[in-house]
Amino acid sequence: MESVALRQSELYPAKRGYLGRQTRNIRKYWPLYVLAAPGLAYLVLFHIVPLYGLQLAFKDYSIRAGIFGSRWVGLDHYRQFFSSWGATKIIVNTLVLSAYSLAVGIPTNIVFALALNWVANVRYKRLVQTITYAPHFISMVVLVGMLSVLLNPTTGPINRLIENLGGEAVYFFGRKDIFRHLFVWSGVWQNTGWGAVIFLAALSSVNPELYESARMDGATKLQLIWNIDIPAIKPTIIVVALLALGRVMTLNFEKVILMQTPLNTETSEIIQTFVYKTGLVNFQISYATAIGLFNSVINASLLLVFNAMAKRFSEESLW
Amino acid sequence: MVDSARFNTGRMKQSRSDVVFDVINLTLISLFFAAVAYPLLFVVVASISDPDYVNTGRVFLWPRGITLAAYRELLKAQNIWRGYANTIVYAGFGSVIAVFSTLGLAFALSRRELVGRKSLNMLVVFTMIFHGGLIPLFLLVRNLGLYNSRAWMIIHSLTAGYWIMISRTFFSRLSEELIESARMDGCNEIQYFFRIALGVSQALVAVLFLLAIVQKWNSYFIPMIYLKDVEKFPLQLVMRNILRIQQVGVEQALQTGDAESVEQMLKTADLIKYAVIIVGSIPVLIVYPFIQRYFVKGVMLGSVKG
Repeated sequence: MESVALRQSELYPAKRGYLGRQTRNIRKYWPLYVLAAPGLAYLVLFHIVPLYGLQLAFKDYSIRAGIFGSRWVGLDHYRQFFSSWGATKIIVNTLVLSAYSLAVGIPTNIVFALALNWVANVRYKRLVQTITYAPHFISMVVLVGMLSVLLNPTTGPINRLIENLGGEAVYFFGRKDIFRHLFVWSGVWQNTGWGAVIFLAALSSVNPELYESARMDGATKLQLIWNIDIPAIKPTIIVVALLALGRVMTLNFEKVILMQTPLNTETSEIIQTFVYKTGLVNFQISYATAIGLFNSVINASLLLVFNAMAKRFSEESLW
Repeated sequence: MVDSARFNTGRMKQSRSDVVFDVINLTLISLFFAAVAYPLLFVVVASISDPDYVNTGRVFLWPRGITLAAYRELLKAQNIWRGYANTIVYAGFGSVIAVFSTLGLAFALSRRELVGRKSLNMLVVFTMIFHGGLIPLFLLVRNLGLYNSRAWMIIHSLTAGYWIMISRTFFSRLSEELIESARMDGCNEIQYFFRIALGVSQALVAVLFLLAIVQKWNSYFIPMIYLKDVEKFPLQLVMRNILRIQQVGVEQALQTGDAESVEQMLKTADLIKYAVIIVGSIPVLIVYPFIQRYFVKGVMLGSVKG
């Protein structure tokens, strides 16, 4: 033990003060920095450094001049965007799609969790869980691919069914009025099982004595759900809802892009798809950057607001 | 874990309203179950059925006119196999690097001895809140020479603040005695991390791993915008292109001027689509039942804090 003590004092000479302690700790605990290095490097390089490019939102990007050399145009891009007739539509689409998804998604997850919780047969319960979780792991390409084959106007089974019942085939992907429903309810199909897990977990920690005493008083199962289950998951509901609201602008735009057709863009064009098309397809780099920045700012604000609310209501929040 | 449904059995007598509730509940659950399972079943069945039956709506629960033509066609398709290989490389290497990077950073952040810990935590949180968006990242990746590179396919989305924080919380709950005794044995932090911390947090490691693999396996958009060479396309991209082909076969057949083969191609095109969906999802759906319970544990890890 003594030799260790000697070695330590040789390696880490006693420097006094806060700075001394800090540098000593850096030298002493250098392995921690090694462990942190890859993750940190990635975050800095690909999350912080790109912020430099945000200035393009206020410049007119020219490839020759590069980011640094392009000339400043101030708020021109924003003037252009907000005065274009498409802007309102795009923003509305984004909000409507998000709100619709949330308003449908969260309650269905809750209801499904509550209902599944009361299924008596454990093996059936597990079977249902396994099958309903599965769609969550299907890729977007597969999901939209399934939708497009099943809903194909000439060869898809759904339309065959419609025709057999006397109706006319519908080109689902071409109908801008159907897009939102298609988007949201296919999301329900894909995510309800998985989304219910967090509520099922909360429900499983309910004290069984609560049920017993309520039963003694003659409670029906519905009453049990209403008076015991729901209050038990209320904090979870609040947190899930708040966190989801905070991410309301970061719609799953991979899915939107895949589901978009030239015929349904009026309801399917959201901010992110517009940024993608403007920037990477039409190469209006600075214009797209400007709108992307707008999106990021709103996103960040919403996150801050709703996360603060989540913190106040429970210990759970994103940070 | 309490199974509240167990109050169906036992001493409590079932009242009439209970039976009604059970019946309705079971019915609704089963309806939803069927609604989720049926499209999956249908795609499997349709992929081996004669297109004539499928397209006229006469296939419901089991295949009719069984044909493996679509799968035979797909087996020949080079780009599918290349896509598979690419995806395995990207997902395999990517997930390993991602998990170790995330956990390494999280572990370091969980140690109070880390100098600059507060600032680093704030940095991580900042990346969760605000990001520069698609275009600045694209420009950066291009300027770094990573455009159209497999390297970027492997390291994109390496780590996310959300999981860093969850892992950090997890590590911070490890008992201090563990690392103390390791230090006395002469371990430094890196050895401790690999040998002890990871071993103790197996559930976390497993979940991160699986989620990383699934995410990389399913990713489509990032490969789409950053890759140019077809040989580098991952499976999802190849599938997407196949699923979008409506007219190609038709144009080819039109050139031969053969009406029948046009029809034939249209039919096989749809059949191939069903088969592609299955082929692209097989790995996930096979592995999935075995690993499913780890996912549930992982979500509960994420939801239980403090």
